[in-house]
Amino acid sequence: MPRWRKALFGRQRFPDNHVDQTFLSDLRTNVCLRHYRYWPVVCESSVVVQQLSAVCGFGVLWRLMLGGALGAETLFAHSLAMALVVYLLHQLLGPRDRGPQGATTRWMDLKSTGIFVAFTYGFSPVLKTLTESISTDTIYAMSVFMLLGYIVCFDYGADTVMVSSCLSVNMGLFSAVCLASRLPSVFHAFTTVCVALQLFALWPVFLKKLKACYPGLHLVVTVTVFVLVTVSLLWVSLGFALSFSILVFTIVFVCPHLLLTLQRRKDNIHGPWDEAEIKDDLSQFLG
Amino acid sequence: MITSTTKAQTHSEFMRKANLFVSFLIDVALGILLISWLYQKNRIGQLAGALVPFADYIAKELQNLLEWLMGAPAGLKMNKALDQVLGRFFLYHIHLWISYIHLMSPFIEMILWYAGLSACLGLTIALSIVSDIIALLTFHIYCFYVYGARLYCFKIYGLSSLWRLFRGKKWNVLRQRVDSCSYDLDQLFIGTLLFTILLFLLPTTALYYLVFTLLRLVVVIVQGLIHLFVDLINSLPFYALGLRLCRPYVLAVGVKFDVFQKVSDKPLHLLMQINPLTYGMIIQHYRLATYSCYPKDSWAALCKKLFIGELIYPWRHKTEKQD
Repeated sequence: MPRWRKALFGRQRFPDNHVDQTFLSDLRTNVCLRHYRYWPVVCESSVVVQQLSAVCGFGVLWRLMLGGALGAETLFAHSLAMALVVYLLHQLLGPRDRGPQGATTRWMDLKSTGIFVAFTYGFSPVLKTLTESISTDTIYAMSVFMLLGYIVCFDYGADTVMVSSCLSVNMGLFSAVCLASRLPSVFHAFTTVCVALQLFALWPVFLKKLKACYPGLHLVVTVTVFVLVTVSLLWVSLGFALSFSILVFTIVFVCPHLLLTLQRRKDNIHGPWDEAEIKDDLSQFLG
Repeated sequence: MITSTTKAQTHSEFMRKANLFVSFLIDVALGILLISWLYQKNRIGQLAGALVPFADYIAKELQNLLEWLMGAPAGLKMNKALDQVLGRFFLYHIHLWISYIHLMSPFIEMILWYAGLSACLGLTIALSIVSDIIALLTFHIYCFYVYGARLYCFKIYGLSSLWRLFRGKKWNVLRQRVDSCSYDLDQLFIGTLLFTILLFLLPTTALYYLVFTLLRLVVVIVQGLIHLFVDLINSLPFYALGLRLCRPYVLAVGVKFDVFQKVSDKPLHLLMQINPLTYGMIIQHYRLATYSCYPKDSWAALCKKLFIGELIYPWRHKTEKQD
């Protein structure tokens, strides 16, 4: 009896649907398995905590402005000072990484800042009256969904379809514009949009660079920001502060644990029945 | 063609000539009837006297409509500032229009008197002039429609392109498809700001656009009916229809044989009867070609144009088709 060979266009003494004994010998399990350790995963989750904190911090600032506890001028001055400090730190962290359009200079940054401030200031009367006639519940619902979208679509470093940094920044700004119309004055609206821009667009850029240069410092900053936001949430309401802390605790400590536990049960099989994958490196076939 | 001296060679040519001639005669006869009715008992003066109050009445109604739109129409929540701006703009336009009509009012009777004379050239010409007068008198509605449509079109166009920016995409002209694109932060910022503003202002613009489009459609339908009537007079083959009515055997579609007498040993007698053309076939066959108005777009294309705010023109002439 001749042995069965795996040849599609060879005449063999086997029926077409013959399944040979050697079929399962090619079976491989868990090819792409990555071995995680607990504490590194906990540290990595700080990226998510940062975004959550940014969103919550924005909410708190907006709430304080709405209640009148925080003046728009004060907030604007402080946020401007903070932005300057963070920008200097950003410059201190080292040479800028080169973007697709070549090196950006400080002059370009100044120009961008001018554009931001001028457009926001010019449009803020429009923004103030834009959604006045729309009911407050609709505005709140829309803002919440947009902020959720901001958190979901944010580029945490994973390479999936859902991630789109453009979309996430836009959603954050959209929610800020929605919320701006509920505040009492035009300058309040201007400040809201400015703070949103700083928190949702510029702050993550700095954090990314900080994490690349000094991961330890990034952790320290994360913890500081988390504590600050929780304390300021306490100011607004105890329930919010508690739920935020529980959420962060779950994400930082429980979720990595779940990942590690569930990964032991991972049973992923690969074999000759897989669809063909095109490898990026074709040199071995071409060379 | 009627005036050419050569005799008609074929049947169809003759019929065409005769049809044209008869429809021309009917046209002129109706026109003269109209004149004889119009120029009795100072009817022109009455008409002119009624026209100005009627235009005033329409302007008044438009004003009321605008004031309704400037409030909270049908409980819709519109952007107040934009609403006020648009409303005042259109109100001022109506004011201009009313002054213009009143400036014109001393001359209207004279204009109507001379325009009425054109009816002796045929009813169709008089009707066409009526259609043009309607177009002139409703010029403000047309203006409103154009302003509304342009504004709405601009909004829709801006929103569609900013929606792509919102998702981090852009329209690739070379490949005719949507590609992803990495925008700068300031581009994103300005784009989102404009997107939000346009999005929240869209309902206000869309409402104005909707109302003025409906008004415009009413005018277009009235004009279309007049054009349809003119077209009917111009294209109906009256001579052929008259022939069919009076002498049906002249226009035959075929013959029909009946057994007339069947006696053995004698030749069979058959009765031949002529099958006349039906009226529908006559109209189909002898219809005169005119510069008829026919809808330029299908209904779906029309709806799409209305949706994206493109200007609609109700008809175009056949001669334009070659362009």
